[in-house]
This record gives sequence, structure tokens and C-alpha cells, in this order.
Amino acid sequence: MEGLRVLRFEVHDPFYNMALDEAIAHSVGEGGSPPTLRLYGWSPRAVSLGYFQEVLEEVDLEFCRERGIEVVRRITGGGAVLHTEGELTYSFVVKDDGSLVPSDIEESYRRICAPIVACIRRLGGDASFRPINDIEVGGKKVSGNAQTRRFGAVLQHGTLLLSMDYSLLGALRPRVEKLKDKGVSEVGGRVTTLKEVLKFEPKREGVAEILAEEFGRAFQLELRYGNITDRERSLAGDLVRKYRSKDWTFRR
Amino acid sequence: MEIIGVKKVKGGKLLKVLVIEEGGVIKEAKISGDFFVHPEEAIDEIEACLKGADMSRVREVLRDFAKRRTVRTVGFTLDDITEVIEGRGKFA
Repeated sequence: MEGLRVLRFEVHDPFYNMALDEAIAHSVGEGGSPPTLRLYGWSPRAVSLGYFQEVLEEVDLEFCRERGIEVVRRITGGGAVLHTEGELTYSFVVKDDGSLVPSDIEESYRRICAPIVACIRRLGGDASFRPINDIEVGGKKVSGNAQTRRFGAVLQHGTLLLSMDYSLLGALRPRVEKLKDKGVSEVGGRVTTLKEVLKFEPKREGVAEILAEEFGRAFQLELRYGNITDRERSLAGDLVRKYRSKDWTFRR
Repeated sequence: MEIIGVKKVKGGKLLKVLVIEEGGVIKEAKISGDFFVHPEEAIDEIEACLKGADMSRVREVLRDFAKRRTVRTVGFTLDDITEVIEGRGKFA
């Protein structure tokens, strides 16, 4: 059975988190690393922006400055996300050769989100995939996901909300046009957390292990807990400068 | 003249297009939103090919682009960009 390298849950700063996801994508694409599932958290808190988003449209920079919330632009498209200690984040990276993940992008979201849905269901939450790239419980989003295909790899990273301090959502500027379509008036109103769904807050490390099992099952890969390679470490060290730079963050 | 059009693509993503137009010709184009484009750099190429295009030929310009470049959009189509520029999207 082919292996899935699992990088155990760790908390890192926002810039390193994005740099390491990209470094792993390079390494997997080059054939230097096997399919990889990485589990992580964010400290300090941060807003991550989609590749195509305008920072000033999406982020209340003053709110973020006052509360020590960093802003980082992702390599992936999609929407702005507030990352706090109540979130488990994953990245899943495989070669972009159609073998593990279909080349059709919308179908591949469904495939890669399936183990996340299964994880939430195992915990007792009635989760379902909502195309294009969300997972919901009771019509509210509990997980958002974003994908890129570069360097010969498919990289999908995404969130699983365990709990949320809704007062921090002031970091994101609500978009009137977007909310209209979903029929809800505030960002908080269309988001939910495992704590609200399950009536208790599971530990991130525990959820991370269940998530890894479900990824292994869904892709029929044997879990191999491991570490990043020297090449990934040095690449991430280089890439972190890009993610910290104003040029990158404010490029749109 | 600066034209900013925003469209919430039905069941899809938010698409914002800023166009600076002079005498019917696009001088500058900037596309942003929470959509996906693969490869991502194609968005810069789309902006570049809109630059200098006649406002009445936006749809053809984008369709020509799609013919010569393999680009996959998720959550919107290149025709949505045309509609926003032509003012048939919802304006902010």
C-alpha cells in the first residue's frame, strides 16, 4: 500500500504556514516527497486572503493591527479567512498526475473534502459537502477549502472550525453582494463550529488524528507519521520572505 | 472614465472588475474576487489582453484568449467578465 506522509499537528506563524504549504507542493511535485497531509494551527491569529482578492476590500487593517491579527496572502484563490486558535487547518498535497486526485477541479474538491465530511460525521456532526469548496452543517459553513495546481502538484488547504470568538470577525469586511445570495446579513450568521454542533469542543490534536485516518481511508493510503525534508525546510525558509513582504500581501 | 463592476456569480463567486476606459478603449483592467483560476497567472494575462481592447470587443477578446491559452476558471466564466464590463453585472 502506498503511503501518506502525515505531518503531525503543529502551531506556526501565518507566514511560515503558507511558506511550508508551498514548499511541500514543490517537493511533492518534483517527486522528492510522497503524498502529504499536514495538520496545523496559527499563532498569532491571522486573516488569509485569496490570491485574487484585494486586501483593502476584504480586511479591516486597523482592527487587525489593534488586536495583533496578521494578514497573509495565500497562493490559492478563494475567500478571506480568519484563522484563530479555534481552527484546525490542513494541507493535502499530491502529484498532479490524475492518479490520486481527479484532474477535474470541481470533482477533486468533492474527493478531497470527503474525508473531512467523514471526520465531522464520526464526531457526531451531520456534515455535507457543498460545492464548490465548502463543508456545511445545518446549512452553515464549518469548513472552507482552496486549491491550487502548480509545480506539478495539487495543493488543497482548508479549515475546520472547532470554535470561534465571533467578536474577532470584525477583522473581515463583509461583502454585501456575496451575502445577498446566501440570504444572511452577517458573516457570523452563516458560519458554525464543531463546538456549537457537538455541544462540546473537541481537542485539535484529537480531531487531527481522526482527520488523518479518514484521509488514509478515503485515498487508500497507509498513514506514515513523518517529518519535513531538509529540502522542504530550506525552501520554506526562503518562501517565508515572500509571504512576509508587503509586495506580496498588497499585490491586489 | 473608471468603471467598477461587481457581480455575484449565481451559485458561484464574487467577481469585481475595474476598467479605465478612454474613448471606447480599455486603458487599464483589474480583476479581483474570491474565485479560482488555474493557472493563477492567467489572470494577469487576461488583464493584459483587455488592455488596449475596444470596449465593444471585450467578449471576442476574451474568447480568443481562451482559444490560445488553456485556462480553467472555477466559480465564474470569462463571459461573466464581459458582462460585468458591459454593465450587465450588478454595480457596486
